[in-house]
Amino acid sequence: MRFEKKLKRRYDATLPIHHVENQRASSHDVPPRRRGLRAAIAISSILVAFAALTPAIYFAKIGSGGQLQSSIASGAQLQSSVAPPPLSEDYSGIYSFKSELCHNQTLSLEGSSLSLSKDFEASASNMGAIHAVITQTDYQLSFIGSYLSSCTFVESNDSYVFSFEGHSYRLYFEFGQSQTNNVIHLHIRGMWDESELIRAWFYRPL
Amino acid sequence: MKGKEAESFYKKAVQSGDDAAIRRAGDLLYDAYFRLVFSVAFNVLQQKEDAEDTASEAFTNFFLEPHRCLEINNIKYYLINSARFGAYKLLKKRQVLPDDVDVESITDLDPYFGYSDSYEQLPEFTELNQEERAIVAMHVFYDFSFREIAGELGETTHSISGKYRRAKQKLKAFYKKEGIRL
Repeated sequence: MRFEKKLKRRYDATLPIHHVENQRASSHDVPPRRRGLRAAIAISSILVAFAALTPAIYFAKIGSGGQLQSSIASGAQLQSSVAPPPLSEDYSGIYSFKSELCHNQTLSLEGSSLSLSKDFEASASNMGAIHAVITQTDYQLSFIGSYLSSCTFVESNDSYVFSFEGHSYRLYFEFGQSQTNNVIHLHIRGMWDESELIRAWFYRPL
Repeated sequence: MKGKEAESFYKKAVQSGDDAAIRRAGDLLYDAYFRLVFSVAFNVLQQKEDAEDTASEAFTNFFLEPHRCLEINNIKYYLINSARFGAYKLLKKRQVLPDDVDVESITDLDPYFGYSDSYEQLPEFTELNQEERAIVAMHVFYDFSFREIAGELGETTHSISGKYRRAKQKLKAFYKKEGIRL
């Protein structure tokens, strides 16, 4: 059997589609499947989730002061000796790369997944341009690649700001929990002169 | 019946104006492509029921205006994109993605959206970069030709086939290293 067929078969085994196919009666009967029931469930779950969602959103901003170090040789690093606020949830798990929006090629994120351990240590696989390491005691970001061959970091009261080629960047992570979609999502945002430069979303099932 | 045949059959049925023929042809089209459209939606949403609804909606919208198919060059591509946008809308609605990004611009900003997202059950995909994942998924899982992928990603067919070949070598190396037999 050809490689492609075998790989396709391997992928198909991960899909829950065999249940789907058996339900079809006609292409023109497709839409209402369980929709009435699901609409009722959705409305009630949205009401419940709306109340639950807001306090569940947890913002973990990188850095709140502390010592900064930079290592130009391996790109650049920044560290804080100040412990981040305690986490209200266990965010450990494998996060899948969701999407990337980059309005400027100066800095970008490439990657497929990000692994976060219970002690809040993150490592990213297949990340060409940025590698993030976060621990309970240190926030550390390592920028790998040619994008940031040299830059200097400055300290800010509420987030890490670093300057590169005369522009200020601010980088922080946000964690959110969506009960309605049963996922925890990690949103990495990069700000450049008050404009958002990077957005990257990772998520994992609850 | 293969997809292209089903597309042709459906277009002829629409041109004939025979409702019964359109329904029969619609069933064939659905059989040919539902799995494909569902898997694209599932790749983004990671939930069977959401993906099922999104894929169903893509077909429903398509079937609601049969004559539009005559203006569509590639129905498979149209349905897949419809599912991609539908999945993206759902993610926005569920607050997984922020509100301030237009659905229409997502594929301009991220051409791999829906193709390279999540293959958690396939550890070999961590060996590939985002572009390679998209190309392998589009070619192997979603049955795109290299020419179609090139059109979608704005590259040449030669470039896509070269990248696919390299990605395939990486996958084979992974299987060999991990002792996995396909």
